[in-house]
Amino acid sequence: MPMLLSTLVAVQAALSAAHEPPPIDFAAVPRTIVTQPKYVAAPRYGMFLFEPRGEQRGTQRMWLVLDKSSADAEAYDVLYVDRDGDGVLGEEGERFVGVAKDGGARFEVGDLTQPGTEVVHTEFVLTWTKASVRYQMLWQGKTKTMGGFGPYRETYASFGDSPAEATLYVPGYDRPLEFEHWMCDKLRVGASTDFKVFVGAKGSSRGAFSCGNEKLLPEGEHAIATLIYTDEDGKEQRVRAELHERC
Amino acid sequence: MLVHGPVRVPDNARPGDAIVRVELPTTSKFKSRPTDIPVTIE
Repeated sequence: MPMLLSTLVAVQAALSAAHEPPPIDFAAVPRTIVTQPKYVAAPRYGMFLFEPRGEQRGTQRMWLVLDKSSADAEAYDVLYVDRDGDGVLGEEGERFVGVAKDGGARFEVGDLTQPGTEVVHTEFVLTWTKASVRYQMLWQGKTKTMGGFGPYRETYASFGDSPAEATLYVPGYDRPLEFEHWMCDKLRVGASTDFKVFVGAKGSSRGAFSCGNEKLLPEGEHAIATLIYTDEDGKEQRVRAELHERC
Repeated sequence: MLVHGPVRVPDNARPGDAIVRVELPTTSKFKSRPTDIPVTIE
């Protein structure tokens, strides 16, 4: 490759990398809430983090807080969604009552306008169970994004007991895609393992991963898995595999 | 959705901790951040 061309390619790669957002420092995300409603039960806290757009600065936050309709209710059947991202919880249109489902509660919120933008995500549904909290929505009304997932079902996240312990999710596809494995962290010498990964974005804990559905990566796209291991002589070795299948 | 495929551990691997680094190829239309997934070789 001629020197000028190779230099231009290197500069373009460096500029591209420079424009990629760094990994989110979840511990540094502010957990302030301006105003909270009077809760009936001990509230449970979660948050969506959206990428800034246009003149916005910093990651855009949207609080999600679970409560109960009565103190003796089994299920967390009330959900507050800070739809405008102003930190004032419980404004008009921000309180939702869930429908009982399998001992849990299902909240059909509908459209979510990304705070400070005109970007609308649709069909937002959140489901609470004693074991975990799950959500799904159509990102910009097109591709499903859902969470929170972890490497095993028992790792799926619940909301936290306080704002400081809130579970943070990163829905959608505005950031470089990340990966989480699904039940395949044990490999055997001399054997093949069907290595499965979620594709999406990490959350604040292992069970808060957000991923897409089968429409996220179209046919022809695949992931690369590089096994980095130590051989019998103590030397680092690498072997590359391609993940082409979907399920 | 899960993306998956076979990952084979070579015969000369020493049992213990290892890493599977997952990313999209540079030819992909999507950007990815290489993600290191801790695994155990048995």
